[in-house]
Amino acid sequence: MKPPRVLLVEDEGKTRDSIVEGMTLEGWQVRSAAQGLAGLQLAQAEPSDLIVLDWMLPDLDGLEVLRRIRASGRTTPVLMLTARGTLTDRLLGLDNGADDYLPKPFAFAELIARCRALLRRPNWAAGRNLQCGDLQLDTRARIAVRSGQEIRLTPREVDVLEYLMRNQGQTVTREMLERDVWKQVHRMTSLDNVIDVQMMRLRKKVDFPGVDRLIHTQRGIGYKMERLAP
Amino acid sequence: MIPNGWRLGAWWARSTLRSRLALWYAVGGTTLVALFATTLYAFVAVRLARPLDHQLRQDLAEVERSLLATAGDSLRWQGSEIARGPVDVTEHPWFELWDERGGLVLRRWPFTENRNLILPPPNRLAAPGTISVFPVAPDLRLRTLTVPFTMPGATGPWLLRLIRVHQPHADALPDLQLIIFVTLPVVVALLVAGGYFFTRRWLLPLDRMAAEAQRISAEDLRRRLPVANPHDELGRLAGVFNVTLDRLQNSFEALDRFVADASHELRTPLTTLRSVGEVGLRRGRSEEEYRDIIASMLEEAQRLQQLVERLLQLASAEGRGEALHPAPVVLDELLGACAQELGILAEQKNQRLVVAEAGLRLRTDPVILRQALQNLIDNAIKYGPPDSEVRVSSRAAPGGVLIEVADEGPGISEADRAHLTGRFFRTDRARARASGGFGLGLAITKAYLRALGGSLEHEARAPRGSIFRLRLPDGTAPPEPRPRSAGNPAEPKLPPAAAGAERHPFPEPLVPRVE
Repeated sequence: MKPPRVLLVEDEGKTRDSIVEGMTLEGWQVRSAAQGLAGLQLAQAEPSDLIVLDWMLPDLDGLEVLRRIRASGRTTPVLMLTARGTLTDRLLGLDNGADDYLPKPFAFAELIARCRALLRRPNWAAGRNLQCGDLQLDTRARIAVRSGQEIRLTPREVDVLEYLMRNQGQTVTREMLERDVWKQVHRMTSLDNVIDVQMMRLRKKVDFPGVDRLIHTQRGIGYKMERLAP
Repeated sequence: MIPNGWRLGAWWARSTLRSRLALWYAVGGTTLVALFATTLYAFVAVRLARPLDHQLRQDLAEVERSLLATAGDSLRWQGSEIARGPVDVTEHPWFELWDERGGLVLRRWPFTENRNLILPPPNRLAAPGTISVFPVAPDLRLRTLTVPFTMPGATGPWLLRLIRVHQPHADALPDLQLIIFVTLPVVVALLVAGGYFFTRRWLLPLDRMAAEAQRISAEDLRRRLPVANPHDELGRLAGVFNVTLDRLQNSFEALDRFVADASHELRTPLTTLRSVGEVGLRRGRSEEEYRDIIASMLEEAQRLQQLVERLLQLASAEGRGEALHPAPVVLDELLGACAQELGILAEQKNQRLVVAEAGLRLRTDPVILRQALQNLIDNAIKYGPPDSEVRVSSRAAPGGVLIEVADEGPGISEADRAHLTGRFFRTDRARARASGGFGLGLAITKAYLRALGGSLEHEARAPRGSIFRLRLPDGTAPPEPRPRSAGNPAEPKLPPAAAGAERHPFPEPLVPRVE
């Protein structure tokens, strides 16, 4: 499969460099621009599979760049980044042809997850039966089995486990869990503790003594389900 | 050229209240006193002339009786004669008869013609019965009654003028006039001078207030306006200003505290972030150690992010930046959802999280109410000891609903209660930080409730613990209180406790309202 071509327009140098580096590590082909006009030229010179566009740019603001890209007939998916997090801003971006919207500050893991979704190559395990190492989950019967033992889980724990297994190998942040599993539209900070406790309990049940650890905490980032090479 | 009206308007706008009042005393006083004097004068004049007019009418009757037309177009007087010589005023009637062309037909009065007492011919167009006054000499004024006059057998019609003398000793009108003309300017002058003086005196506190207000600024909000007399208008004005200043001072101080607290709270994770990074770079380390350092820095960064998010929540809730999206809410369902969400935290501490159902419905913004409730339940779980109970209940209250979140925690001391919903308030800073709080939860909850039109109260619970009480308007009630009958469909299934609570709203003095 050809690596996806991503165009990043972001004026903050450090942010730009770190995103470029992170995406390159994912194996993506990244071009970047620090200004709106330069970004627009890059977007029109060569086709991209995804454009990640900052809203606040020094010369031409992201919304205008987006408008011009759409006006020139390109339907490349666009992900807007912005420090302006209100619902109105978000709607404004989506109205003008953005495909997704990520408020700053964001976790890099979440940026990658959103980009994957837009690139239509989710690292998303499909199907009814999910597997990670010796852990199996029947998503319809909602039964988890590890090393031949059934694990008794609450409904919410099954939801979380399914989300982790479908995203295995990828970091899942608290924000992602809050939005995709707890289905919260608004950020609710009282949920942070709930998520931590939920993860702790799930891990106790899944990674019981005597088996390899599958759920890993990435301190300061989130969680990842992965079978590490022995 | 500037129109006069404009110039007057400009002067009026520029002049002080005092000059305007003085002008009013001058113009208004003159007009009113003059009006009064004129009325008085007219009344006295009419009153004094009334006997004379009566006599004139009697004279008319006598003329009609005693004047006869004889053949040959001549007139014959049958009444008593007037003696020539010294004027005897009792000999009456005196009259003149004028024809249509203004020619004198007959005159009958005691004056000799050479005294040159000639009255002008009567005005033909005047209404019949007109009374006129003619000053004919400095000491003599004549009052006349003019009527049309016809006589059977004579050529007519004529105008008959009956005449009487104003008695000098009974005529007080000139004196009255004199009194009026002398006193009017004096009265007006006194009015203006007194008005100016008293206005100046009474408005003096206003000048002092203005001077003091000028000295009050954002930096020096402790000053207050002087209250000269708390009972008059200026005193009340100063009082109102002072209350406003109190509030202003409070909010400025709150802002100061907030900025100080916020920068402190932001500095703490920032300091950790920097020092962990710097120390990490001091010497070469193993990959494992670097990972640990970076993870620790990321944790602090997350903490910063949470803090900023909470501050934004607070700011937008306080500034009513939250647009409300009211919807019908089944309260039990919402409480149940909150409890289910946070139940895992209670379970972790082996606490019982109990939701008592009350079957209430209301119309409010479910998202904001849920955030407020979750903050409170989260707090109750956090501060409640292991193996205790957190109880969430609701009931109908006058004009809305009441939701209570009760815990068995250490409670909040009297001293701490006042600061309860202030920002960054924690009863025990060290422990709160360990449990991940910023001390913003209650401030945000209170702001949310205010946005929903409700309020937050705290009550100490015996023997230990706290009750947080949310009052919410039910959102369906019309602004005026409506009678609540048992059959009101808007209040389904009122439990007996709720009905009791309606009759006896819980005693306010026992419940410190959290401000």
